[in-house]
Amino acid sequence: MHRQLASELAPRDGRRGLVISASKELEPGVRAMLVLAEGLFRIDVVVRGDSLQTVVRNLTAGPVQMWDVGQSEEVGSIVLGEAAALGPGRAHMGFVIGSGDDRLMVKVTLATLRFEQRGTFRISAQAVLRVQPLSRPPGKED
Amino acid sequence: MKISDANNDFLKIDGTAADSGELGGLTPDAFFQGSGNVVSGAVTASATAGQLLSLPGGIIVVSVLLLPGNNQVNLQIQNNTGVLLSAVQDRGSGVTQATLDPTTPRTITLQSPELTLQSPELTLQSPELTMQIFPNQPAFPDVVTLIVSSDGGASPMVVAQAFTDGV
Repeated sequence: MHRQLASELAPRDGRRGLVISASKELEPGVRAMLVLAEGLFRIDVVVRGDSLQTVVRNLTAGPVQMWDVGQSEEVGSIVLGEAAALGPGRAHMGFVIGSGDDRLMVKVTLATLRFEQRGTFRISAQAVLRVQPLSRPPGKED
Repeated sequence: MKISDANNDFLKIDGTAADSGELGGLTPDAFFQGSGNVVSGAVTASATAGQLLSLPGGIIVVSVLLLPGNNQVNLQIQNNTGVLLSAVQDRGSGVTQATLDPTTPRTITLQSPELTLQSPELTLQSPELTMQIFPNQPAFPDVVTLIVSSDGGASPMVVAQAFTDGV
């Protein structure tokens, strides 16, 4: 059973937003759906060796364009208490999905913990979606 | 051709196309404010409260306390932003609304871990708590996801990761 929390964010500059939070504990090599935005996209994850593979499935008729979040954003990592023994990891990605007035910008932060005794990994994610305007509002041009 | 017409029709040499990078001429920063953090914490629960996590600046602090007798774990979430924060939480039995009052820590008792056998090769263990905490501008501009799980037992290790991101 897939469980996630999805909540609407307060509009920013008139643009609606959504935040999706999800977490699963997986054995290495097992592919599972981590995040689902109905009718928009889903993100599958699989742990392969020391890497986390992510697969973005486009559920719209429009294109998906990945953007390099790393160039514009830094995701910091803070490790507290006994968490260091769990080898916490993090990754982030972003993409634009859909076309026309329905284009969305999506920013996803992923985090991992390794449970050596159980032979599993916990993969968690927070995805933030914002509607992207096609053009700037009248009077806002440079 | 007039200069004003040319400026309307052609991109200047140092200009940026309105659809450059499919971002409406804006950089990704224009859509999301600030940068994110992942905070990871783990602590073995005991009868003495121990800190599980603290978001940057100590704005939200999560502590853990093992209740004597029944091995239940209490989480205490302290909101130090100075403003009331709204949140939603899922403890495996449905989504409920919550508020984090800056004057009163919120206490949540963790449920037993839920193991779900999806297929012979895939075992999923749900987290005991998934919580989303929403912005309250300008004091708290971030959206936060808090995910907490524990391995049960007499001395459970409680593990958490929190995501903060400007929206």
